[in-house]
Amino acid sequence: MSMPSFALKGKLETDFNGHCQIINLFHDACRYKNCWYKIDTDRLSWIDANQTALLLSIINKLRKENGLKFFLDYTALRGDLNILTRNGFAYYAAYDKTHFQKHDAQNTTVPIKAFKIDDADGFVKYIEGPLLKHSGLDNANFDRDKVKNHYFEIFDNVGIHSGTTEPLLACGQLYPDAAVLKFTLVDLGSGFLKNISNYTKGNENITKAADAITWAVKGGSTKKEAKGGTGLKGILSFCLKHGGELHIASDNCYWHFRSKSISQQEIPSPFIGTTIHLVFRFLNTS
Amino acid sequence: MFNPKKVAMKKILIKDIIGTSNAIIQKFGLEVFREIKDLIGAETQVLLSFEGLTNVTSGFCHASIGNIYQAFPDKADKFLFIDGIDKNLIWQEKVKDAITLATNPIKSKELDSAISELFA
Repeated sequence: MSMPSFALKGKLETDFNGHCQIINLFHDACRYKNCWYKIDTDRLSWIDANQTALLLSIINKLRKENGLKFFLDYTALRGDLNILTRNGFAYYAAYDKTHFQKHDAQNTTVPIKAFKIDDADGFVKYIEGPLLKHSGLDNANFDRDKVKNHYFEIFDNVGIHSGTTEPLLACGQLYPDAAVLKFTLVDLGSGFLKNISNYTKGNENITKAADAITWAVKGGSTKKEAKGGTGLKGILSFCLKHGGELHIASDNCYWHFRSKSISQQEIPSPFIGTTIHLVFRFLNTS
Repeated sequence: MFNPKKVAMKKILIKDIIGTSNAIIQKFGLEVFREIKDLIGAETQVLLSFEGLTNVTSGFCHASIGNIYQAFPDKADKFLFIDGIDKNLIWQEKVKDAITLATNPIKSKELDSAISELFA
């Protein structure tokens, strides 16, 4: 039986190209309704597992709005791609779950998870448990309190600004050999630009996504019920001091801080909402 | 003469208001603000306690303590006291930042030089 499909190819990492590949899948799939759709991984050699948060967000949206049933070939998810079954992505993404499971029996991966925007306890439990208590971090030397606080700040910001009641999707991935922890949080809300553009009308008059993200990261805040703006600024400061990375994809901008510099790239065909990646580095004392 | 030391201070546990030890979202901060604002307005000394909390964010502090300092700039220092953050430097910093942002927003928007250089 032939079905429409999209092939993910090469290495899908936590960067602009990885983001665009996933978004391109969305733009292809959204042309179809009420049918099967295959996510072809035959030519995919690697995927940063934290990126499954964005991939699953897209799949959930297409399932709900276009009635698509997603097919994943379990035989293709071998080797490095096995992560897609072990972190639960394949189970939640595929219509036929026969060969997939929710949890990694060996507990070696950080699972993908959805959260309601005000599920503070659930999010804390995820960060303090599966993410920061991962066995791969047993010998890691880094400020756990500060790191988890940064995750909480992002969660709170998303809840306030996204303007959506749709669940957030989160996923982490630990790379013990490289001493790197990657974390991704995705919302399907309104993005940075709409709120910031409205807020700065008649003042700074921000009309571009890149400027909106920069404004927010420098401490700008559109919060109505309280002051704010210190969360993202604090995260940027932490990344600057400890060699981390902050990526924000919102509207048509992929904003990226890494190695003491900021880059902004235009996303040719944007997706709704915001994707935030935090990449932290630690010392391995083993 | 009115002696503040002899006046009973009303101790309020944040954990009791928000029903969790995770004070990490603005919504919880607003609940705390609503709970104590009338007391501060009526010049009742309030001891806001962080006892029993395990996680606290800036967003929570801005919405609770920051909002008190914004609403009552002349009363907050005299009637709002904070307890339970002595051993937690991160929380102390967050409370201090919330007060600074509420009372001196221009100062709080200053970027440290390292971040300023990124945007130069």
